[in-house]
Amino acid sequence: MKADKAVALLAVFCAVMVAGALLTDWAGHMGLNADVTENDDGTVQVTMNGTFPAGYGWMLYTGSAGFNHVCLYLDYEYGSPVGYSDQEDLMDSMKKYLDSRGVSCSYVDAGGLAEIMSDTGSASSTAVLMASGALPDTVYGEDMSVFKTWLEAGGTLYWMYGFIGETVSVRGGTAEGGTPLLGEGAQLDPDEETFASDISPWAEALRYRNTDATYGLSTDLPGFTDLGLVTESGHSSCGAVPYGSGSIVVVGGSLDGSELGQTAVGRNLALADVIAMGLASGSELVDSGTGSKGYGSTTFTISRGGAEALYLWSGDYNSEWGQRFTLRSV
Amino acid sequence: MLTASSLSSFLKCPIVMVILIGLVIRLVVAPLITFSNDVAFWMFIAGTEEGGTGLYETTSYHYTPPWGYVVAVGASVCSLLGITDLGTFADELLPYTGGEYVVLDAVPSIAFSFMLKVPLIVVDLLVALLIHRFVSGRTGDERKAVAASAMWFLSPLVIVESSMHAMFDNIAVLAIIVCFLLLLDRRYVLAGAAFSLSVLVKFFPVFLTFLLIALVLKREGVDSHGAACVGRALAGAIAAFVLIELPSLLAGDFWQSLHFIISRLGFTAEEVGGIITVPVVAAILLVVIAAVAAVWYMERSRGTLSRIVSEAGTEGFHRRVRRGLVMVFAVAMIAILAYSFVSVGGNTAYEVFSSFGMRFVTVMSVLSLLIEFYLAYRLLFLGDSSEKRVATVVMLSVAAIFLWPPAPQYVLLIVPFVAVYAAMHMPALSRPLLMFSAAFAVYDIMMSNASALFSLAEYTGWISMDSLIPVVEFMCSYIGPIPMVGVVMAVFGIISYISMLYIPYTWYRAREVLHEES
Repeated sequence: MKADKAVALLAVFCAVMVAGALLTDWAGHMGLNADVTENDDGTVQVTMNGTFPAGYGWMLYTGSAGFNHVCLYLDYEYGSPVGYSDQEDLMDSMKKYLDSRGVSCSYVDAGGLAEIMSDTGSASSTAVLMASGALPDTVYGEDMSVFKTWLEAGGTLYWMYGFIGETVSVRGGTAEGGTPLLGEGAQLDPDEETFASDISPWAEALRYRNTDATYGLSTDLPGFTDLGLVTESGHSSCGAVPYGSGSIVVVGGSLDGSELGQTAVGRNLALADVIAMGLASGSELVDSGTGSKGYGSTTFTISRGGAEALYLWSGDYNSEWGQRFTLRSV
Repeated sequence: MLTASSLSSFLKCPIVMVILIGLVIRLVVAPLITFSNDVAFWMFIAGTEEGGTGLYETTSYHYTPPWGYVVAVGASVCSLLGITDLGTFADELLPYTGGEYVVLDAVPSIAFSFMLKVPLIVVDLLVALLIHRFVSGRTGDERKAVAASAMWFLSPLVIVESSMHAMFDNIAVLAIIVCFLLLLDRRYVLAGAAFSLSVLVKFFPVFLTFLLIALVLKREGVDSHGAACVGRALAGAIAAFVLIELPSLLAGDFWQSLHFIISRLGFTAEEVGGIITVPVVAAILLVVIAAVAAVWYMERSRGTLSRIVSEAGTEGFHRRVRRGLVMVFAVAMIAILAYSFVSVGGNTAYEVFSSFGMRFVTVMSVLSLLIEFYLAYRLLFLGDSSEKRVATVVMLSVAAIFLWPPAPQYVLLIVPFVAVYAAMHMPALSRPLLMFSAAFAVYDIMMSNASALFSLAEYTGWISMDSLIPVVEFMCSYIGPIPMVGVVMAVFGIISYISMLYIPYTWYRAREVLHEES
């Protein structure tokens, strides 16, 4: 048998590859952006601009923390119960995700963290993301006032892994026997592992799929805001509580994901949306929706209700892009 | 001009009947059953042209680029046809998304799944037609050609993978068949390109490297001319590899794009990316160049290579090859064990052996590679050059790829080669092939389980999601500390694995009978 048909098949194969490469690697980088116009009748007109079809969603909400910069804590010289490579992977991913959501962010070490938290005048304009499982002694040593004062002055902490304050890290190691910031029983003990069952409206809107509430906050805490899924034991896989004028948001679970890492990736992308939106204690979802646009731009109008901010995102399963718009005061 | 009688005789043609039956089954099954958990990923990457993200920035794609490109083209066709609903979310599934049994709350739409299955069904058809042409051309026996095509096109496994699972392994099968056909036609550059395509679609044909080199040398001679032909194939393979990977190289996603391949070896893309840096690549290239130069010098000065080639067919050399392969396997085991020891810090024997166990696929892959090498050596230097013997080595080489218990879609590669061999040389293999296909098809259906009906539940009123939840809960349950999904996987995986081993066993028994008869 002559191989002419095989050559033809090879040519078709190559044509599909070239078309696919153009679509994903050239057209994919043509980007997506949005314009928002507030109308006098209490509606908001949204235009999603992008050459190719896209899934999108929107959330109208109140209670956004006012920070405009996020510090990603990572210090290889300070001890941690969490592997440095796991922390690094997470922070690198979060940096990428936050960049794609237009959020200004930078890495900070234990010394830098002390500097930032000492500046209580700017506390409300900065958020900190920590996944070290330990607070460095530069802010939570024998004198815990730096950390507490920063929170009380309006700082926002996004925390993953461990009981906040129980482990204090020092240069070259960790010291057990710290003072848990939120007290006994405020966070879910890892031995008490239970599956989440109740879904909060925020989790639905955010597509927050992390069911692991280990170290998650108790829903009984005063001023608790549920952003995730709640276990039978009454702990949330993502929740926020107020601390003075500031806020603490705790994300449940560990840093490692399944082999494909989809659970972890989905959680981290949703967390990036949480941070980009500035969600904290007291944040309330007013309304949300999804849609899909075809080729070119699409425009739709939504009623803002009493919302103070609008968040637009794009993607299919996970959100791949997002942007927050602060709406003018009514 | 088409008349009623010519149409009637066309439809009565056996190969047309096989194709019609196969297509009808696929077109009935494809809209109804979709393995949601995998197809959902195709739905995610369909969004790669959205939101300014490339293939490996979407966080949902873990394969080499070709299938991502096919999905991107498929998604664009969907858009052109007005299919904008790629899928939806089933909140009822959200509580089950964190367990051992992989459940995604994303459910692809029937229209999108069907549109992605269409090219895979076309690939099934093309493979069937190539098999038919090949067997018909070689034997001149239409009955054998139809039988071989039917063993592929009506195989339960082939139908499940393209029409239910929407898994793209059949594209790798098509590409490797194209590679063999081009090789037979002495178009070595194109054959090399087809080989690269096949490997970059689904890795496993890489195990056939030794076999393909042996086939070229067998045809062209174990001399400088043969080496030049191998070189041409190699050049085609490298060119295709670089072209396909070029976008990933330019985007800095090269190692990430090879995640599926690297993870087979028990490593992560980051680990390999950290080890294989530019100086390391340069050093490897220098070593290869030095080795080639040394061989060339030894051949020119002492005729070493010619002497080895002339001795390669002797019993003494054969014995040394077998001993050498055993030694290589032993050294590989020690190296993997040592790496396992180092990678866990050597804390406890249990940790070392569990780390070693994690590399079970690597261990069995080393064994596969050695068997492949041995088969290629035998093909090249021992025994006769009859077509049946070559076909036997090809069939055994393909069957030897999966010594470790593989996922159902991977073994699709075995089906066409065994089907052709059974039709042309050993009809006794037909039944084991059917059993193998059925066992792996059932295994795949059991692993997908309730998720196969998620799309139907979300997009039609024929079945409710609530009625599927108890099955999901069952799959998420535990028997003591053992997850139910592990039990299901073990039971159906073992049955399937045995059915796979039954193929070489049947060949061995049938061969013995033939020997006794002769």
